[in-house]
Amino acid sequence: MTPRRHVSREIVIDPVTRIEGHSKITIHLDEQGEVADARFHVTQFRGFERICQGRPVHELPSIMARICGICPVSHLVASSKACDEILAVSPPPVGADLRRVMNLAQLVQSNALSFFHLSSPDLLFGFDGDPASRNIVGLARENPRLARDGIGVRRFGQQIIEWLGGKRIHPAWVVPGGVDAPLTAEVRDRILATVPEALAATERALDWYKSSLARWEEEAARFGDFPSAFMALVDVDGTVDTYDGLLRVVGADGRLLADRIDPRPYWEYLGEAVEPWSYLKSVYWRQHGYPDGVYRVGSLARLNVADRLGTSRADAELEKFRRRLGRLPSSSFHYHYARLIDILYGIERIEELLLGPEILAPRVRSRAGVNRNEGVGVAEAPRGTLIHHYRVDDDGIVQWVNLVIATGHNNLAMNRSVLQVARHYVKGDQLEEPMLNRVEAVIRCYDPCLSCSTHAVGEMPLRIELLAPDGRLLAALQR
Amino acid sequence: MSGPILVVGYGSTLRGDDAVGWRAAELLVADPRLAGVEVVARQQLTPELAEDLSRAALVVLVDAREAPAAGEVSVGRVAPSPGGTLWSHRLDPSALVALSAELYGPPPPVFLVSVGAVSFGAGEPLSPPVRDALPGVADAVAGIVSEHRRA
Repeated sequence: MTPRRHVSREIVIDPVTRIEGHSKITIHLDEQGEVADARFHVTQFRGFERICQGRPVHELPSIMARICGICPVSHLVASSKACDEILAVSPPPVGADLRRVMNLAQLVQSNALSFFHLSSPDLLFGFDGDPASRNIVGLARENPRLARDGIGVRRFGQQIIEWLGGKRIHPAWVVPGGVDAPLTAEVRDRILATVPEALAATERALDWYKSSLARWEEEAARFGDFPSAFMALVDVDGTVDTYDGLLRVVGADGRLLADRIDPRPYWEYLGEAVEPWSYLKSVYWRQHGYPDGVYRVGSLARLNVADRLGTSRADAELEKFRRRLGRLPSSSFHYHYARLIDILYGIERIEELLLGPEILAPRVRSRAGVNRNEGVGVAEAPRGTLIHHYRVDDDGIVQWVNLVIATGHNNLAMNRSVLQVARHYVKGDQLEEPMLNRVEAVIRCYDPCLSCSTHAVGEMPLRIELLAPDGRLLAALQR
Repeated sequence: MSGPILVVGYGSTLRGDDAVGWRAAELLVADPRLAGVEVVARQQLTPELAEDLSRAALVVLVDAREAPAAGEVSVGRVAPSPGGTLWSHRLDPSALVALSAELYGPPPPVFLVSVGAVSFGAGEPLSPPVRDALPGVADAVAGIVSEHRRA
């Protein structure tokens, strides 16, 4: 992180580091030098919603996977589910289970990247620690066991994706109607052989995290600690379901705002707003309006929303989590803890699915032509609920695309979190590394993926301002 | 040091000349001079490669480098340095070697074969000078491997 410049009434952190994508944070001071406002600006731009127009619908899963090199599988799954609707087919049960396995492998590897590689240096060295050490090599030097476990857990997820899909990044194995090829006994057994060590490594990391959590009480109380709703997918029994669930939204007071509703008509519940200073859309709970309809998604939301995770080790850890933090922890700092439980759940669930008696069945794909002109696919990505929505003409040529991405759901919460941290830690015009790192680190709690979340050409106004050193506006350009 | 010889070609296949590491890996897989060598292609150098590196007797990395002399092939030994690219999930070669050394002990010799590249825009084709340099990249990698086997 490099504080790039300091204008009399504005502090800019540019770029924000150890996240996926490009962004900046501005902190606006009032005349007394106190923080008046703070904003998280997403400054990169992709345009996938327009790129896809005019393409044949069967190409979309592969194109959409290119949105991101970290979570391509999540886009592949949500996109293929939207295509299933357009084809009006259901994948064979084993095809759906194999999609679940790959989606869970994605959840494991992405959460491992976030926790071990991007966030654990802060947690190990502290936010006041030497910035030169707060990285993965510093982590390896200080706690090699934790670093090796991080590498091992991420490798577990990546290997599954590679063994199933042929490559770690942008595999094309998940297709409209199911998956491209059945699972072989050899690959199943190879994956199952890696489960015990992945579970052991995750549990070691959980033990380490829980033993150090008391150290971060101050940060936990100020890193996005505010009441908000939480949203995630659950099955009919209220158990978390990362592939094919129903939408549940829990309000800030713990009462259900929506329970087990069909997520596909998302526009009935969710609104999408744009601001002139960011490419990232802000999604809000329509009933509460904008910007009051703030809610959070992702690992913390999954734990807060679901009754249970449905696997033994993860449920045992969930019980400890709730005993320690309450039924609805409101601090975004606890995303880190939740991410580790999410990983544990993912590994256990993969094992369960692979031990299913039919998992090697050869029928894994349903085939059909275009039978509908519209489709919505919804799944849980590592960072939260992911929605792909397509409209096609009668020949299957894409006419319109809308993507609602986890980082967009969290945008309002991220901005509120940045303001909360800035108000507490930023004093006057003094710039100090630890306080700036805390402002930046609150964003890392959400593990935002900005490559995924900026895609609406022409709809996201970008305002460029030219400011004099005294803060006067010299010129402005708005699209 | 015993263990396999590992060649890693890396870069983005969607950003012009940045794909030269991938294209070289595709070429090297079928090169008889590299029989028995493990050749892989990756988008980036990620921390997981530190473990692969620790198990190898020799590692050769192949990548594009920004340089005015397009197609120029250069070879250098990679020394560990923790001060490389450490801000994300992506490492530079020296940081990867440093990470491997910290976690798994003294690393094997690691060489970087880099190709001068000029075009990193969106698109799949390599620029003509970089495409023409591929046989020279293969010769450079084969030369390093041959020297290691003789030693």
